[in-house]
Amino acid sequence: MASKTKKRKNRRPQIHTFKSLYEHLQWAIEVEHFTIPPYLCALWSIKEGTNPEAIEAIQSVVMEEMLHMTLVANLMNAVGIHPEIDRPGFIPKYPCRMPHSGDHFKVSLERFSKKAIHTFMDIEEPKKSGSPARAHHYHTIAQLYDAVAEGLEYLVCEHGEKKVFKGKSHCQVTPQHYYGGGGFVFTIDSLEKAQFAVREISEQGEGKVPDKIGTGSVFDGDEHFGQPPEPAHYFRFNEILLGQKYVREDTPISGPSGALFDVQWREVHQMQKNPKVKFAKSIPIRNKMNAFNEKYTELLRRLERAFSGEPHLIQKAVGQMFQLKYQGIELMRIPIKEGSKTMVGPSFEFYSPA
Amino acid sequence: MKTKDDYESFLQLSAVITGYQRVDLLGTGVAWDYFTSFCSIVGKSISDELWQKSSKLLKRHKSNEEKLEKAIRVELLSDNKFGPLVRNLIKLWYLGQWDELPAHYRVTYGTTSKDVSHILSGDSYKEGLVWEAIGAHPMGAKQPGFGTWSSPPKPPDID
Amino acid sequence: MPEETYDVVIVGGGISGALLANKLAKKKKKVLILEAGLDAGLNPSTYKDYVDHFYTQQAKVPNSPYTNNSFAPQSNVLDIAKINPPNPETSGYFVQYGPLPFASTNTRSLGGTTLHWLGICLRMLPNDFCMKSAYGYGVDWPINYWDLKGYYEEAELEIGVAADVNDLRYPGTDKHFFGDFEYPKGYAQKGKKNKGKYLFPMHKIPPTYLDKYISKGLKGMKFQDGDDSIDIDVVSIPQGRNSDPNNDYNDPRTGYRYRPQGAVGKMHEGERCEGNSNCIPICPVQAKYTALKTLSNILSVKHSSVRLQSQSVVSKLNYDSNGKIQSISYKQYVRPGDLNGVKEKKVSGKLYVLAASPIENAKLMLASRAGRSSGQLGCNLMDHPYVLTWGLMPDPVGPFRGPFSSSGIPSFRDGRFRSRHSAWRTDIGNWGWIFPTIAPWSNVENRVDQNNMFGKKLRRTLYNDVQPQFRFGFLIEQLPQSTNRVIIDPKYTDALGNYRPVIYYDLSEYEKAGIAVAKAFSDQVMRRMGAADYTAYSPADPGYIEYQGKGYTYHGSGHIVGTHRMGSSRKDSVVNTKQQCWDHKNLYLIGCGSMPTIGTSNPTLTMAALTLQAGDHILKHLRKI
Repeated sequence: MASKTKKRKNRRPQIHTFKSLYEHLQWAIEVEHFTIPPYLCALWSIKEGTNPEAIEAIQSVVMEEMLHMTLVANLMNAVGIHPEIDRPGFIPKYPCRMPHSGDHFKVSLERFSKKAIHTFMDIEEPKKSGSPARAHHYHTIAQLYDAVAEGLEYLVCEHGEKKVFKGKSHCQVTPQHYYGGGGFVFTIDSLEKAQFAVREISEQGEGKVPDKIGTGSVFDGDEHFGQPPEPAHYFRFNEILLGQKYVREDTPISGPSGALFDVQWREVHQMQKNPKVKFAKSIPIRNKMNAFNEKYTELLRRLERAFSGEPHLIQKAVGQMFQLKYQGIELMRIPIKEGSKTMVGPSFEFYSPA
Repeated sequence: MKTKDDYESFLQLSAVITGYQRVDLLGTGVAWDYFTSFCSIVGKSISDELWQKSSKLLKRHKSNEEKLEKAIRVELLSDNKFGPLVRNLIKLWYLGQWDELPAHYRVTYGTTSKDVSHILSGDSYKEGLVWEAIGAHPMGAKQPGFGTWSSPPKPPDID
Repeated sequence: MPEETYDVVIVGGGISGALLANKLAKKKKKVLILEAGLDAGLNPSTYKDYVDHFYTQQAKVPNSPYTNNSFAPQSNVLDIAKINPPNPETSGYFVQYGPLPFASTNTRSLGGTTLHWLGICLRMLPNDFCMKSAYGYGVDWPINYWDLKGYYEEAELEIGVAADVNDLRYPGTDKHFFGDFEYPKGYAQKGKKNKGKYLFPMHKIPPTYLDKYISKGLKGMKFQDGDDSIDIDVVSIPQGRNSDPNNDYNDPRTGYRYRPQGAVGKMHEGERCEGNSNCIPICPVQAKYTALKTLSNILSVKHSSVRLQSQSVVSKLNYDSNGKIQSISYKQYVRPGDLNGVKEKKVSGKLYVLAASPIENAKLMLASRAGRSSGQLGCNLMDHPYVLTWGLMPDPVGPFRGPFSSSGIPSFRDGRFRSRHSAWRTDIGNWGWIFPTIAPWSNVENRVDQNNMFGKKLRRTLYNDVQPQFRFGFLIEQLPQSTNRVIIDPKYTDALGNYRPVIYYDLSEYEKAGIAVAKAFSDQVMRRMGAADYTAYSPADPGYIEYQGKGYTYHGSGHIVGTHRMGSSRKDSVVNTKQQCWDHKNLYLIGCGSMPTIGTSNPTLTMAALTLQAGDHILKHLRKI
């Protein structure tokens, strides 16, 4: 660590101003949120009682993304800013590229399929060796976080830790407020903890940073939290694709060698791709879609408040998340029109009362 | 085509007798299963008759909810032949279970060997409308999340 | 010829057997667990089968997810019927001579009755251990609360109990009741130690809306019972159900802070209660503790020193002329109900432990003609006769959301009145009238079939019918009576040729008097709350009794206690304070059967504490051999 710090002093990193740090952190929370609606659509489209392994895998990833959102929010509060969540621009208009990335692929809201899982793996793809972060465009999520980590280090070097971590501690979400699996949330008030959070997010997503792709670990660094380690998101999706679990000894090159399981790709509600309220074929359907979006927007509003000085509100969000799920699944069962085999699905659009 | 029309009559009749919208009933994911189970339990000829009659009533009173409800009471619920069937259909939607038809009904109109009290399926239990109606969730499913039970109950929005 | 020798052979894979095996496994003792039932539930798919089976059962009774197995039959509340002495009621598994029915059931499948238990983890109160000397009824225990305190703490860790010490107030106790941490003491542990004031591993389960509503309504209430004025207090209930972990609690087993254990074989389920409102008969996400969790922890270790053998029904203990158990005979079956492939086998160990339900333990001892010198074997069968009252509150109270019961009224758990009538614990039932009237099913059938409702009116009416529903349950302390007992009779055997339990059971005047006062208390509460009382008891109810001209109905609590009580003399007890059988030194009988009295707490936590205590004795015993 010491030698690295020395080396970095010699050049100005991508993030070298407070403004740029704040901007990047807002991007980070947008990126963390970006993946949630597509993952939820795939998850909810799986017919109940089928595909337990796929459900468990996707669900666990979603839970970790929520934890990551919370950790980023804590990081933002640690440096004295609040995330902006409750606004139309926060929700991506699917299909679209991952925000602030150099990705060439678009991500859709779509049902569980091999294609969808491939897309998810593209999103969570581990960093290739030697690919540095570039202005405004990050090839992978880890690169964005690397830039944040370097920027934090640089700013602390330049201005001192106190000037950087000047946020109010009561704004932090603590384990008392947030407990939902996916690991423990923790408060951030120093460079060390900030770096730890950044590493945690990267590793859960992509695995321990490998020197070369193919030789690193498949598993994340969860043992920090006293919970058993799991394959990183990329590899958890790969398990679904291959119908086989990873074990500790496996590497990205070896592939999984654990228990086999069946994936029933047909046991899926035939949700239309990228639903939109404006294309609803009837008023009752439009109302149902709006009801979902209203709930979703309410949830974001609550999260923004929770991340802006009222962390206890996050507990109340639990019930909203469960309700959202049931409403989402309901939409998976409603045909887009009479007699159709294609189902409506949730559209995850910002709702503003007319 | 006829089946499709019958299914539509079934959905519309179900909406009126349950007090839920057609789209709500579709959202349970068990509507088609209820339709086919109902027909096979009570027998095809009598269920056909019911759909025909329902379709007539639904068309006749399309724009007047009050009149439609009255017609359903007079011509279906108080009818010796259709009353027990429609009441069973209400209970099927609310509880996900079929109640064996009354003995005198079975003697007069006959049913099939499938007319025994039972819960149709795990899904039918979980999709019982009663749980939403009473402001709760099916016991053992659709759990509301940690701590939600501490909040005051919220009456469901009916209209 | 015995096939293999173990350090300890444990009969029964329920909570006692599991906690004991866990303790022995830590010391690498070679252990065999013989389970009469199937080992279903140990992986996510067979557990899911239980849940799916539950969904399709019309009568969602405690044993509804767990199919009866004719080779390890179990009782079912649907079998509880009125008895017409002198003829026994034989329709269920129990042969009941009465005169009143024993109304509780247990589960004979791996995990035992923790599969369908509620999860309430109350400690007994200090006076519960000395009923005879304090109040002149029952018997005194040969140990006291303070002997068990450290083991209660250990049990609360192993089960994973959610509660906040500051919330818990009980009559006849002071700040020393929880006091400072005692567990673990002695042996080395990892990480930081728990020191100072006692904490539970998890914070309390949040109270239900109904709890808060009633708590507000009863604030300041006093109840006059004879000369005693009793302060009424609504208090949350410690539960073996996952909640927010207490970050100040250091788990001595891992050295980390406490981490709730979720569903067996699943990494992200059941780490916290999700409000399935289904603790009984089955928690779908396994946020509730079951013995399956402990068993899975033991068995999933590489080279585990514990072996589990299911579908093996023990039929007899074989002992020599000195009373030393030589072996255990059991029948192993391939498929339930299929006599082909049933093999009779024997197994030996240095020590033997019976950890089945009290009724099964007693039955097995009687069948082996063992442990009979005190004459108490099979006697003193107890339960908490469970009396319900129910009504409608003036407001919607949000029933059918969250755990079955998260608060109670402990005010009658101890007091001078115990020299006149039974103590009891009041639980506040959160699932409307499901228990007394099978709501909301009955509400739908009534409104549709009798009241001719349909459509939106039906919807609205059901909301108004059910929302104000609430229920109290009174768990009445039952005294030990030698006449309440389990015997065997060659006339009554099961499909595998093992004895069925033959039960004699009655309620005494002491308990009936307690029921009458509890009902009077309920009346006063309803008046105070402005609630409409809908309580109704019918002479047709199996548990109908009369006392001083009034009728009441009791149910079972599922708290099967007694039959091999512990004592300080071999003349009046079956086991000693180590739960070692007086007559057979290498035999231990553990579980609720050893409890001399039942008190007013649900007995599982006390059973767990007693088991952990016995575990230490058994380890010492093994060192001596």
